[in-house]
Amino acid sequence: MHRVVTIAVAALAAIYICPAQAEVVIGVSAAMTGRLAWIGEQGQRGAEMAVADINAAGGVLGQQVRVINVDDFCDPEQALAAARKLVADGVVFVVGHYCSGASIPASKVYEGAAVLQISPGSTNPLLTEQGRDNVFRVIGRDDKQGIVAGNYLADEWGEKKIAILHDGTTYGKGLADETRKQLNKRGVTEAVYDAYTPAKNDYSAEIAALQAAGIAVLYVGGYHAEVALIVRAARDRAYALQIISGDALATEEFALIAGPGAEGTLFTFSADPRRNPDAAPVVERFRAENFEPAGYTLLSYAAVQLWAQAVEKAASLELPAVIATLRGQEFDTVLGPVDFDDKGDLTNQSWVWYVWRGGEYVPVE
Amino acid sequence: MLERLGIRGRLLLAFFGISTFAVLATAAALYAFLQVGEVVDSITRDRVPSALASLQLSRQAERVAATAPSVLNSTSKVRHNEVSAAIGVEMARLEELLAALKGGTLGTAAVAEIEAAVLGLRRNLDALDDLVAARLTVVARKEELLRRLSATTIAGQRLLAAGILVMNSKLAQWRTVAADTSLASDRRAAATSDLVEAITGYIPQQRAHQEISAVNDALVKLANAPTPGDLALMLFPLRRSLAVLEMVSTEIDEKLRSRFQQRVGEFKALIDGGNSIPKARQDEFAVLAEGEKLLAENNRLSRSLTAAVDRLVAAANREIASSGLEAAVVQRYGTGVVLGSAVLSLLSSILIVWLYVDRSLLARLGSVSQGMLAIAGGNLCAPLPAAGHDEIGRMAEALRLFRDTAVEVEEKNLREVAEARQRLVDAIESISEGFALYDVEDRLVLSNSRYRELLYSDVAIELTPGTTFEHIIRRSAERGYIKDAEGRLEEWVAERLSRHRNPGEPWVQRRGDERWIMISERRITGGGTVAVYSDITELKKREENLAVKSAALEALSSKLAKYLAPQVYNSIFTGRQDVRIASQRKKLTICFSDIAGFTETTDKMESEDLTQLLNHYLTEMSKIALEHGATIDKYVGDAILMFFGDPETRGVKEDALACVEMALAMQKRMSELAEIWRDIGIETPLRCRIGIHTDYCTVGNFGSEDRMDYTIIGGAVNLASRLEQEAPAGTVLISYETFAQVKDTIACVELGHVQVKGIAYPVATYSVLDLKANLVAARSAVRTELPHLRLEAEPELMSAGERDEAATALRDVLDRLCHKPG
Repeated sequence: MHRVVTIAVAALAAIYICPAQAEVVIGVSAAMTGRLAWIGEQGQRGAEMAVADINAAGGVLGQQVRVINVDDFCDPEQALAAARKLVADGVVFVVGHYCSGASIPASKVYEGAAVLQISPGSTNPLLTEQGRDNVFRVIGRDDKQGIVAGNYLADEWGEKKIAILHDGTTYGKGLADETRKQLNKRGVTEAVYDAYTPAKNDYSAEIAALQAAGIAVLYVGGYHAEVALIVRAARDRAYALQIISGDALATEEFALIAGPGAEGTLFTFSADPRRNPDAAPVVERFRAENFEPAGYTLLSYAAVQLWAQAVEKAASLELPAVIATLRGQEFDTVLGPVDFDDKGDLTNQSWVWYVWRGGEYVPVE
Repeated sequence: MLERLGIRGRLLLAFFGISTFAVLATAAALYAFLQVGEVVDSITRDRVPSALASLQLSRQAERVAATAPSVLNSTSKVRHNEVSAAIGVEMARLEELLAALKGGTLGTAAVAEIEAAVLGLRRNLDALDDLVAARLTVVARKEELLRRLSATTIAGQRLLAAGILVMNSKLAQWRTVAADTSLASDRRAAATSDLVEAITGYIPQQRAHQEISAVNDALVKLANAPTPGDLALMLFPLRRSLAVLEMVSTEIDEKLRSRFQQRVGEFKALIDGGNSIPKARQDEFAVLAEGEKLLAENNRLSRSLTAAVDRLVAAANREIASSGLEAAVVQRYGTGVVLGSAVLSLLSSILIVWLYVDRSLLARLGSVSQGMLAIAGGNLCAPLPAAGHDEIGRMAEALRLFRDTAVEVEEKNLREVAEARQRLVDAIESISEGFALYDVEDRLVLSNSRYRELLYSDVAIELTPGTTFEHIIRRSAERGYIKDAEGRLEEWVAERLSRHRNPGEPWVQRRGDERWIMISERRITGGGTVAVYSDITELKKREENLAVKSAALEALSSKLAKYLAPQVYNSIFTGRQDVRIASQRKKLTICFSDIAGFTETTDKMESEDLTQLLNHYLTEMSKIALEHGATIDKYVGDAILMFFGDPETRGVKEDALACVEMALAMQKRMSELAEIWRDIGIETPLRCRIGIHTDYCTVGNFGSEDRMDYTIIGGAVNLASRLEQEAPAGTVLISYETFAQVKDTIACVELGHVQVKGIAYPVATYSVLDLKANLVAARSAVRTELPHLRLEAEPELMSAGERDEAATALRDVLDRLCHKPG
């Protein structure tokens, strides 16, 4: 009798100790504070919405998904610390990072810990050129984006003086160099090629120099806050400078900083998934929360979708099985149908021109 | 009546009596031990387990009480589950112990008291557990609220970041313009007014930024407010900040306004209302207070439980003590009974053994055993105990019968021994040899009359049994019976004793009366010696006669041998060759020698001198011939015919070589003899001629059955004779056949051919010089012989001193030769 009681107590204890339902932990690593906080918010919102939708539909493999956010500050060193924290928390998958300069060093940590990494925002080619099986991205590569930009500059501005500036980061310099390469390939030589210091409050001096040199068009490889300040400096001088940049401009904060001068600024970005009819219910839910799912929001949503679908199809959380599934199959996401090449890049990469009009960006018709 | 029982019955009765007392003693002891065991058992069965269980219960209660605070301290669900499970196990154990205690024999009042305390403890612990679960929920809620606060703060500040960045940019631009003195003053004034406008526009955002930070900080601090009183104190600034934010929100850029107001609404929810951070903290305080109360209750219950258990333990201890006293009394009583039984049993045993067993059984058995020992020792007249009806009586009867039988058997044995002895004496007497038997100590045991008459016919020598061997032989030696002992008595006695003690083969003893006795002695098994003496005098005499005849024959045969060649003699006497007419062909080397001009030389000599000379010559030559192994066939005057190769041969070549060496030795001896003869007056030296030839001859016994000659015949003999005649005096001449055999060892000079009668072709002859080895050595010797000078010198063989002496002598001669007198 007493033994029976003891066993019953032990069994009860065992039930208490084990969670009623197992959970899967994934990470979102982005710049949550600082100048890139708006892009970080896009990533965080997109991933959280995706996880909420997945959990509402029963989770993955019957387990609920929990998100851990970390702030990598778009800094290479901080990115390593963030990656190690996520690995220590036991994540099986990371959405991120956004800055190429953060994604590339972090990918090594994830590879060592057998963690899947899908970046919604890092465009530098090196990320998928390192031969790491665990790395994927749902955005195009800068060598393609640079070709599009270079061609445009050559076609439309070939007769004028062209300047190319970059902020010296992995992303900014990489994109500027790819664009310059294509431009030169097309037989056009830029009048100015220079670097600027990021995180400054005023770029009037740089603009004054460009104006003095009679530059008609400026291609900037850099993040939106600096580009917006550059736009603002040109506007203040009533300097009719056409400014063109890359995917980092896809946040409304650009217009908030640049002010009226944002009008007419061109940039390239993936085909806008908000226009995908299949994504409409998701977009509706974001807007209901008073949040516009612009820029990287839906790319982050898609990254989580891809991981969840791959796990379901592989019927396993194990990295090799998930990787094999991701490489071998096509997935239906808010971006439309998606599949990957051997390096982990999108098979179909699209770079589309956008222009800022009245505080938001619209495709160039 | 006892008599009728017999010893078996009586012994059984005695042992039964002893055993009865022993059984009685054992039963008493057993009873006492059972009594003690019962008391001890009641202690170990009833009181000790209860006491132990009580103690365990007390310890368990303390353990539960000690674990309880850790429940309250657990901060995570997992930790709480662990601690809760641990307490559950401890509690279950406590209840188990209580159940065990209830089954015991302790006072029910005490147990009921403990049961009530345990129940209270269980209830209290359950309440504590629920409370902790509630607290964990509250803490989780608070943490979730704090996370939301952080997210809201970041989101709010993010909305303001753009405006602040633009303001900073303006400020930087204004600094540049203001610093640039080259610009026109109206331009700088315009820049200043532009900046003022911008600052005015952005001040609300700056304020909002500050207030958001203030709200965030205050809420974080509030979440960990030390007392409930602090909560109300902290709420006031929070509400004021919220009012400011609401006011500012109307001045925010219209694009961001709605989103900003959303954030302000979130802040408001976090500050006030049912799901606010202050409310969560308040709930936590309530739970903590409740927990403290429960914990105090828990301690009180545990203390009361411990006190109840302690009373129980004290009661159990008292019972154990009283039981122990009871056990001690029973044990003392039991010990007395056991000791008494043991003494009684011992006394009864002693009485039975002393009064009955010793007197009526052992005394009679002793007299029976004494009788037996006496009979065994040979005393057949010893007294025996009287017969009786019991076993001992029957044993005495049997012993008597046994003694009578033994007497009869002894007499019969004595008769048989006497008869056997007489037969043995008769047998020994009847043999013709003397017989004596000595024992281990060499004393005479037995002898026959032949022994006496053969060895000691003198009555003075005592031969009674028991006389020592040494005494007998010493006496007989003293009386001169032993030839060998004459003059060396002691020595002989010692030898004889040693021989007697280590007998070997039979041996013969010569007695004083010229008789020979063969003595054979043998050791017999078990020591002692048997000696048999046989008279062999007759045999001995016959043997002596035969020896005399044999010696005479030997002397005769040695005389006869001188007329024969030694080899022939040996062959005949060893029986290797039969003495009969027979011959065979063999390759022999034949040698002829004679003295050149013997007749001329000896013509003038007297017959006696001639005989002496001839015998001297022949003896010398024969000696050399025999040394070299020649067979001397015959002497014909001064000539000698010898041959090699029969009856013994060493091989043709060796025979030829031996022959030539012999011839050389003869010539050398001749030159030495010449001097001897010169001294006795023979003026002309006798010189020898020797001829040698090797060829096939017929050798064997020739003649009649009455008289035979061992000799050789054939052409070869003639050729040898002819060679001898051809040889110059003092030389050796050999035929080619011989030369061919010896040419390796002997140096020869070819002399030409001789014609021999009976041989168709001329024979090549060789003159022998010397052994090749000698020739080399001889070359250095100096030899000269003149009528008045004889010189022989071998300088190489001389020592230094000899050379000096020789040189002095020769110089002296030279001086005298060169300085002739006159």
